[in-house]
Formats: sequence, C-alpha cells, structure tokens
Amino acid sequence: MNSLPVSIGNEIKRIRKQKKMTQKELCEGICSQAEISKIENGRNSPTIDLLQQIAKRLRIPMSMLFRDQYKSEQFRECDRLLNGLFRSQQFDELMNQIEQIRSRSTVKEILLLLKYFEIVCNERTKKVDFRTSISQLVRLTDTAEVWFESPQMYLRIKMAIANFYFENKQFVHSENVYEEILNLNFDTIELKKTRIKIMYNHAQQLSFQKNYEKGLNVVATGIKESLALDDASFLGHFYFQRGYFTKKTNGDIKDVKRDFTLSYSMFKAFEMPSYEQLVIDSHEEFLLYRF
Amino acid sequence: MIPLSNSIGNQLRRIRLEQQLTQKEVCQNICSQAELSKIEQGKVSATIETIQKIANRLNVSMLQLFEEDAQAVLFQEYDQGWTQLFRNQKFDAVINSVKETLSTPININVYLLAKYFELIALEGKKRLDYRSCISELSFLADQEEVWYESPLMYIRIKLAIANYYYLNHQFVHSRKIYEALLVMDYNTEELKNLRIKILYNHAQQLFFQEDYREGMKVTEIGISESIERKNSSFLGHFFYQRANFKEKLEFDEIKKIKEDYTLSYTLFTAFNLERYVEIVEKGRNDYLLFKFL
Repeated sequence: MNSLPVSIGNEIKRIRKQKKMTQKELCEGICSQAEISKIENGRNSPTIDLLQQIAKRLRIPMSMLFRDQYKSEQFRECDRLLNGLFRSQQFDELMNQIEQIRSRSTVKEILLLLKYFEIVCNERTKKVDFRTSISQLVRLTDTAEVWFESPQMYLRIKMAIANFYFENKQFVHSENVYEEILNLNFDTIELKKTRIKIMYNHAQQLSFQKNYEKGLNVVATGIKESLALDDASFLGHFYFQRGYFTKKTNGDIKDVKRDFTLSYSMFKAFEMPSYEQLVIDSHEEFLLYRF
Repeated sequence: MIPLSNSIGNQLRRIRLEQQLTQKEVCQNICSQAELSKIEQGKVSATIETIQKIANRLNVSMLQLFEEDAQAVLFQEYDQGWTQLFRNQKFDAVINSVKETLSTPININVYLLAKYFELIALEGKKRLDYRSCISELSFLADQEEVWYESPLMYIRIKLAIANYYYLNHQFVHSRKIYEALLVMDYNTEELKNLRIKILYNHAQQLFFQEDYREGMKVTEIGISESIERKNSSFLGHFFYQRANFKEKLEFDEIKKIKEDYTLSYTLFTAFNLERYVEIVEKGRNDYLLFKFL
C-alpha cells in the first residue's frame, strides 16, 4: 500500500535532477531539507498542499507526480528486456532474468509483470498447458485492486487470456473476454487509447473466425473512437479491416475501394511503409490511385 | 490562489455522494469521521497516503483525482456557454455571467477562463482598446503560477494576444508570441497535442504574412510531430499548408505538390471533415491524383 509515496518520491527526485536543482533549492521556503530528503526516499508521505508547492517549484503540473506507475522507468526497462527475450523465444534466459529481477525488486507492478511473463513463458515451452495458464492469469487479475492500481497491466493480462483461448480455438471464451474488457470504464486518455488497440485485436480475431458481420460492428466503433480521440494509431488498420469485411460480405464495391484507398493513404501519410506495401500487395486492384 | 486541499476535498465529497456513501462508511479503518469531514471541507491538508486510501475505497484512481482536467466538466460548461455568447456578440451577457461566476468559489482554471472572457468581451464592446486588452491579458498570464497551474489557459490567453497583434497588423509582435510559446516545456499529452495546434496557427499566420520559407519550416515540424504522436487533428491541414507553401515558393516538383494535396484530401475524408474535403475539391481539383466517387 505504501508504494505511492515511493513512486512520488522517485518522480520528484528524477525531475529535480533533470532540472539540475539541489534539494536545498527545491525545499527553500517550503520545508526542511531533511523532510524533502525523506519525501524523495518515500519514507514520508507528504500532504497534498506540500506536494502542490513542490510541484510549483519544479514547474510541473501536479498530475505528473501521479503518473501511472506502469510507465515508470524501471518498469519499462524490465518490460523491454523481458519482452525482447520472449519475442526472440529465448525462454531459458527469460526465466533466468525473471528470477534475478525478482530477487531485487519490491515494486508491486514489476512483480506482477514478472508473474505474467513467467506464466506465458511456461505455456510457450509447454511446461504448463494452456488451460492451467489461463487460470493462473485469471487469478492474477482476480483482486479488484489490479484494475485500479495498474489498469494497463490488467488489460494486458486479459488480452493474453483472450489470446490463449483464441489460439486453442475456444472462440466463445475469447469473445467473452473481449466483451468483458470492452465493458470496463476507460477513464483516462491513455486507457481510451488502449481500448482502441483492444478493438483492433478483437476485429483481427473476428476476421480469422470469418465473423465479418460482427467485425464490421467492432471496426465501426474503433473508427468512431479513433476520430473522437484524434488518435491515428489504428485508423489506417481499421479502414483496411472495414474494406476487407465489406468485401467479404459482398458490400458495395465502391465502399471497398474507398476504404482500401483510405487505409493506403493513411499509411503513406503517417510514414508506415511496410503497411503501405502490404495494402498494395494484397489489394492493389481496389486502390483508386497510387503515389 | 485556491489551495489544492479545497478542490480535492470537494471532489472526494462529490464522488462519495454520487455513490451514496456516508462519511462513516468511507472513513472506516482509514481515519476518523471528523477528519474525513475536515478533509472534504478543505480544512486540513491530508497526506497523499490517506487520500490514496480514500480514493481506493471510492474506486477512483489518484491520477484521475489529480489530473488537470479533474474539474473539466464544469470548466467545459462555462467555456461552451461563454464561447457561444461571445460568438453571437452578446458581450454584455458574457460580462454579467462572468461577474456572477467570479463571486462563487471556483478553481484556478475557471477563474482564468472567466477573466479571459471578461477582457475579450470588453474589447468586443470596444470599451477596452486592443492595446489595453493585450496588456491586461499579459498581466493575467504572466503571474508566476499560471503556466504550471493552468497551462491550457496560459496558452489560450497567449494565443488571444497573438491574434490581437495579428489582426492589428503588428506581425512582429504576434510572431514573437508564437516563438516564445513554442519553446515552452510541453510535458503532458494534452499539452503536446496543443503544441501541434500552435504550430498550425503559426504557419497560417506566416503564410498570410508571405513569409513562405519560415512558414514551410514550421509546417514541416508540425508534420513530423503529428506523425510521431499519431495525432490526426492537423495532419490533413499541414499537408494542405505545405502544398500552399510549395506553390508560393514555385517549387518545381509539381508531383510533390499533387501528392500533398491528395494526402490532405484523403486525410480529410478519413477523418470525416467534409467541409475541408469540399474546399480541396473546389479549390485544388486539378492537383488531385484521384477523387472518391
């Protein structure tokens, strides 16, 4: 429970150093140097008004000190390392690293990350079968706090569950997981953007299942929310998916052409050449023009 | 300035009442009921640990509680109301409504918004000439706290100043404001996105001032930041702008100009911006590599 003062202290220290300030400069007229030192070390829980003054002196908005802990440097570093090993299928080394990090870390989010990688790694090496892996993952997200304390990690675990179901052709279950997570309350912009990614994955799965009608619905929502958020991360992909689904459901050829052309242009505009090429290779005959 | 404990207290109370919980239910095993009552009234400044426990019980995240737009709903309501009145040139109505609002307890964002509208309404009525309006607005924005307590309002006020300079052909001054704004520290998502809008406005003004070279540079920055941030708000506009600049600079690769207009056309279509689609279709038809049917 006391991980918040620690993470806030770390943030204060990090930003202070980044701004090349000393503790003395930071605390002058606000509090004693001894106190600021305790706050930075997470040994003191500051009052919000004191924190407000510190933020003011650092010239940052208060909310910066409460950033989702998911984003903390340490977490990201671990994630990058483990994810790299997982992708290149170096599972032994992955387990090795998990043990090493576990022996020196006390951060809740990182420990959760380690468990997550341990479970998916054991499934990949077939040490544990997928059903057991799923129930282990479910147990990780079972406590209500996970969603509130690290929503990004929560969603990631749920997506892994959906993915295991999907790989093992348990489509109904994987559908249920998607529906469950899409019904959650995504209240920050960061989470809303993750929601768009979830919809994209969901539509991908529906495409493999050849459930084009439903896919069209999911994609329509994805497009609507991307536009509302001004988030172009998946908009090109969504137009591609919609073009594909419309084609498969024998929709109007004009709409199909329009969607593939839009997706092609989006990939061009946002400088994503590999996707641009993909549209050309797979659906060139539908493109209304080429650069 | 209003201390933070006030607004946090207000919020905790509002959320608790929304969930129909009593103080007793919320404070159990966290603090005494008397203390919670004081926290809600902003009479004491609680530690972040206590606030976190209360937030957990109320199922809200700390980030949500402290996000700059925590009181965004209220802010938006005022903003929409006054903007509408201002656009319809009902300046007296703006001034009266602002006065009323200023007499109630409000947070720093709403306070700045109110002052901002008061000044621009007075300018609209011509009770204040633009120079005085600019100096009043500058005074408002340049108080020490404004940039980090309400960066969005800070930028908005500065943009208004730049606009007054611009409208009165004081191009050098307006340009200085933009340049000063662009070197600020944009450290939140919201601000980084707002920076893209500033780049766009700046490039537009440079275009009208016929400084095409400088304008083109600003547009290019806008394009690369939009791409990096996957921000779609202005990318279509930027491509259109870049093509405009290339035309003015008599850029000899006509193919590149066509590509830019076509990209802006397709992006406007992708983002359902029909009005702009029409503008490109009407104004730059010959440059389009294709048209949607």
